[in-house]
This record gives sequence, structure tokens and C-alpha cells, in this order.
Amino acid sequence: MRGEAEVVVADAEEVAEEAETGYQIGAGWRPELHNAIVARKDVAFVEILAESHQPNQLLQPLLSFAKDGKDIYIHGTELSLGSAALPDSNRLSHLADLAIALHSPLISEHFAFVRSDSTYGGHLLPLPRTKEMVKVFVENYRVAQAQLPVPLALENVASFLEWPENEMSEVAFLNEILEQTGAPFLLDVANLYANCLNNGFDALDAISNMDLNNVAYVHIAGGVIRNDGWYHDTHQHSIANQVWGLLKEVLLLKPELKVMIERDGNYDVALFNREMDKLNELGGAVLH
Amino acid sequence: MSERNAIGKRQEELLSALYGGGSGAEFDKKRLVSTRNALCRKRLAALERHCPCVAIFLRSSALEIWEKFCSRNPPFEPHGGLIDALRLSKTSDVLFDVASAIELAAISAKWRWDGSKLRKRRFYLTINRSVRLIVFTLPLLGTRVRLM
Repeated sequence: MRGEAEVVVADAEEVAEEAETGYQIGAGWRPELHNAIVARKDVAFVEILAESHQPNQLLQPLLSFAKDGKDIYIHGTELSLGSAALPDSNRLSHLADLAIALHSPLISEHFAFVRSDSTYGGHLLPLPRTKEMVKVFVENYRVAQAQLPVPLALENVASFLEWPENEMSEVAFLNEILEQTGAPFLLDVANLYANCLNNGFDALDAISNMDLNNVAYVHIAGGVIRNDGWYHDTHQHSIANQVWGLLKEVLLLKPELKVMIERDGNYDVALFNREMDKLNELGGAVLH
Repeated sequence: MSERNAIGKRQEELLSALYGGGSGAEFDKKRLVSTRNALCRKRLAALERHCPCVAIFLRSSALEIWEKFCSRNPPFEPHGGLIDALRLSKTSDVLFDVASAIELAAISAKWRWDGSKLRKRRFYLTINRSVRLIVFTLPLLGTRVRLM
């Protein structure tokens, strides 16, 4: 028993040390991973998918996170800030109510669209990187932020689709919107890696040119190269060595970041724990 | 407003190329096909979280199903994979297997998009309790009868 108590104290000290240095690790909360997340003492924050939860029917495990003082970030996928139409006020209310109910410090969405006026895309689609799109996106962002009680962060998406009318690089497009909106940046390193591989630009060059002054936190996830030859950001495979390498480069530039693992399917708890351990080690190696 | 109209029109063209069999002029065809397949897989994965049997049932015909029933813009329905599940539960044009049909019926019966309390649950709970009471009581009654 004494040994166990000492281990717990050591864990608590490690967590406190990490909190002091600013490097924290987290995980995308899914029911299938709940026990694994709770069992780890080093998880400082969790992120939930907004569309899977109702503010007035919150799951007990989430409320227990909030009671324990862990940050819960709300991650939306259906707001479609890149659509031609203004963001839907019902969806904004949904995000706002969730943030209030869970005392969330942050909501996030994507540089993407999921629907047009009449058609539903079903998932995040890339935006044409034009000046007109920047203008529309910034207007939409401001409308959305005005209705939310906490800051709205923006995440880069993975895509193999390139618009023929693109006028600027992905990094220039993201930087321009981040600068005009003042939005916190949710940097998805795996998405960046996927785009570099599929669209032929240098990942390290992209990182060095990216505006990392206001990074809220970082996503990493697994992916795979499928038969079609493209790298798919599946969130179901193990995290590629190149993604770990890219994360390390980001941490060398900004050591005091919050980083979390996203997983959507193939919930292998052993793999999840190995990757969380690796995330911890990586942060320690960069910081010391 | 003209910027919004132009962007909306182009996004419509892309979605029509992805789901409606549009030509998708100017887009790289290989990338379009890969994007379409990736979207289908991601929607299936989202659906699988709520209705695993339906996802397995649709695996080979998912694209066709999304095109027919799930590509029209929905009204406010906040839940990712549940949007498709609820829509599929309302269509009578697809002949599902029994397990899938049960999953969809359950989704349709218990979900409320507006987040209102599930009043029907009380009714179900009462029924459950009654059934449990009967199940536990019957053997006891049977024993007594045999004893007499």
C-alpha cells in the first residue's frame, strides 16, 4: 500500500511540474476511451465532439471531469464557417450552451465548410484559398464569436482536394484569417502532415512560416496511406513517425503547448496508452 | 453579397460533383474520387458509433445511400452520425435487415433533436419494472402451486 501511495504522489508531482512548465497532454474524449482516460493521472484536459452531446442531457462522466477541475474543450464540426451563408444561430446556441454547462474555456471549429445552401457534405471540406473567401470567412467568424461566451479557436483541416482558383498557399491563407480574426489557433499536426504529403509542400517550411503566436492547443492523430496513393487522416491507425517528428519540431519552437491525441474508431486501449506515454516523453525530452 | 453568391455557387458545384454525379469541371478527377470515398468512409464511421449494424449493412452501398437520402441540407440537427441515422430511420425506400431496422427504430423512438426530456422513457421504465416483477414473481407462485 505504501508503495502505491508513493507512486500516486510521484504522479501528482509530475503533473504539477508539467503544469508549471505549461506542457500538458490531453485526449479526445470518447465513451470507449473513458476508462483509459480516467485511469491516467497525466491527462490535463479532454476535448468532446459538440455534435455528440446535448447541453441539458450531459453524460455523468463529463460532469465528473468538470468537477475534477479538468478543462473540457468543445470541438464542433458542423458549424461550417466557410459556407457562403452566415453561421446558423441554433448551432451557435448549442455550442454556447455546452460551453456554459461544462465551464469550458474554449470552443473550436474548422477552416472548412460542410454544406452549401441546398446540399449537405457530411464532413469537413476544404475552402478555396482566395481573398474573397478570406473576407467571407472572417465575417462569418465574427458573427459566430459574437454569440459565443468563450473564444472560438480555428483548426486546419486535411484534404487531398485542391480548388483550381486557389491564389495563396495554405499557410498564407491560415495566417491571413488568424491575423484578421485574432482567433486562437488549433494546430492539427497530422492534418498538416497529410496536406504536405498529398499536396507536395514541405512540412518544416510550413511550420516555420506558420503563425504560432496564439496556439490554443495541438491535435495529433493516426493515419494511413491507402490504395489510392493518398495519405488519409483516419484517426483509427497508429500515429506515423513523421507526425511525431513534426510535433517535435513544433514543440522545439513552442515548448509550452497543450497537445492531445484524437482517436475515432479502433479503440485499442494499449495503443492509446503507448501513444499517450510517448506524448509525455516527447514533451519531457523537449523541455529538459 | 456577390462574393458570397460566387463562393456558394462553387461550393454547390463541388458538392454536386461529390454526391450528385456532377461533372466537377476543373477539379482533379482522381482527387475528387478519393475525396468522395473518404467522405463516405468518415460518414460510415460516424454512423457506426450509433448504429453499428446499419453501418455494416450499408458498407457496400453507402455512396448510393448518401446520394439518395442524405445529401439534402438538413434543418438544425446538431448530431454528426445521428443525422444520417435519423434520416435513414425515416426512409421507407431501403430494405434493411432486422438488426439494422431495430437500431434505426430505437434511434427514431428515443432521440429528441431539441434536447427535450425523454418522457417516453418513464413509460418504458414502468414497463420494464412490471416485466421484471412478473419474471421474479412467477417462479415463486409456481412453487407455491406445486407445494399446495
